[in-house]
Amino acid sequence: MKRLILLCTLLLTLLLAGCLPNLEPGPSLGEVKIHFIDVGQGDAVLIQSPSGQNVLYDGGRNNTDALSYLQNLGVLKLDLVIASHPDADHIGGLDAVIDFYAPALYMDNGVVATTQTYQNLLEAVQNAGSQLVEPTGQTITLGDAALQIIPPPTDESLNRNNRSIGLTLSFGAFDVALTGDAEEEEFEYWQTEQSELLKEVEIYKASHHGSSNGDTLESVTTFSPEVVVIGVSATNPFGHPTDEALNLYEGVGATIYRTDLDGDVVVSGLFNGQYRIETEP
Amino acid sequence: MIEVWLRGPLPDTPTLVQPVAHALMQAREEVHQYVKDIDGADLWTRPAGAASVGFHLQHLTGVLDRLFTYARNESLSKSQFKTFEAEGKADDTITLDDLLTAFDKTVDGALETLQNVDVNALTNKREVGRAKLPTTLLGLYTHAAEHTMRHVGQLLVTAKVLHDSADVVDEETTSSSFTIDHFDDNDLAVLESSAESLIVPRAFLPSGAKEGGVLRLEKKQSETETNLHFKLDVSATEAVLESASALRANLKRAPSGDIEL
Repeated sequence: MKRLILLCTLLLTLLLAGCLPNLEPGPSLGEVKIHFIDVGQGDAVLIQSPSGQNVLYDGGRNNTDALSYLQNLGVLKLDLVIASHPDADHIGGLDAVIDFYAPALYMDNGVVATTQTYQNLLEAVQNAGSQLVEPTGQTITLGDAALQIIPPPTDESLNRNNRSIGLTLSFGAFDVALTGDAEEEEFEYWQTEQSELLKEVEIYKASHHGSSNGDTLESVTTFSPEVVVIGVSATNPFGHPTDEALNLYEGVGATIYRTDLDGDVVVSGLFNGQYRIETEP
Repeated sequence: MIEVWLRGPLPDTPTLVQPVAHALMQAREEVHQYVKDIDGADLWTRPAGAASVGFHLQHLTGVLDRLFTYARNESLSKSQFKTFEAEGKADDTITLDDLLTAFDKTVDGALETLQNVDVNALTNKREVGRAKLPTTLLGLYTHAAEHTMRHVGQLLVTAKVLHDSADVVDEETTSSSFTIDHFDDNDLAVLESSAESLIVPRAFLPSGAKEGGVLRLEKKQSETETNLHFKLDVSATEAVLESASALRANLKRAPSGDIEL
């Protein structure tokens, strides 16, 4: 018994000193990490909670970029995959990720696409045995952190961008918002029907890659981010990010990071709201 | 490869006109790159009614030649008018190599002219066309660069559509269909075929085309030209939609409500 108490004391001391070896590389004690993965023209965002849960929001177009990133990072388990909406530059890499990690849960916006990419994704979900979660405005607890799902409108006349799943991640005073490719109509819907789920954040993923029809003055004012990260490739033919979008972000005083210029952008947030940003071009 | 304008100054060309020279050199590189896989039979093919690769190459060469003629304060010759009238008319006696050689030669001539330009004359007046519309020497050079790059961009899209669709159209296989993944900025449509992407101007698509629509690429051959057209395939769209909906409906469901991971 005395030996057991001694062992427990030693383990507790090591734990408090942060000396225990990490079996799975992830956030340091008391940190949430958000990885804006450079997947070219597209979005892929990995969220790692302090208590070890991993959530992937979108997976880029290519079926190797996101998976390779997760593998290189040493991620051993993926708990939830969220497909914001079924455009190929958001879901193209998810089937490979799901094939490899077989996450327990999979969430999409319920808009059925007709592309082979979407078919591949659903088949991967089926084969992995992942459970489908509908976005209903639920809270997803990740230890001391929490995801708040901002559900998309159900109006079928809206385009796919305007039915993106949005979410906020909260860890104490540190907040992040991801809004897929939402455009004006969806932001208006959120403002009128889901306003209690919207909040000011430290970190914000630019909607629709900094398109001219993505973020609006109202959306950037609502989220009022200190930092905006844009998932974009240098050679995209769409003109992303546009001057209009960059002006919006600069207009609220946000610092802008771009995956075409900065590569992977990794944000580490603390419970007190402080954060640091590392880039890996 | 790094773009020409970032590779450093051109020692033999006056600094003021180097941007024009850089653009023409860039255009020459890109044109060769884009058309290298074009089959001779597709030289005059017009995807969705858009201009053919043959037209773009003739037009690039012809306009550059004409603008530099005006720059020399000269009027167009009968031969130049004849060339102008022939642009875009399908002619099986003309090869891709012929068109590239003519473009290269015209660009070489333009670059040589720029090397010898009197920079003090750049603001001198010039006149364009029979209407003698006013411009300057610098105005002509700048337009030559801008016009060239604009058509190189259009040539790129046409060449890519021809390249990506060549096999599927010729083989008449089931993969000759494309699905509209989504519409995006710059009036572009992102299409998908066998999980590969193809980006085309939205104007190439039939009216009424919507995200998720399945398209079939049809080839129409006449005596003088070949046209490629996208056609909406409503029944294929409905069939794929039904199949995907069934697949999603059969997925295992998580209980509703808040979740603790």
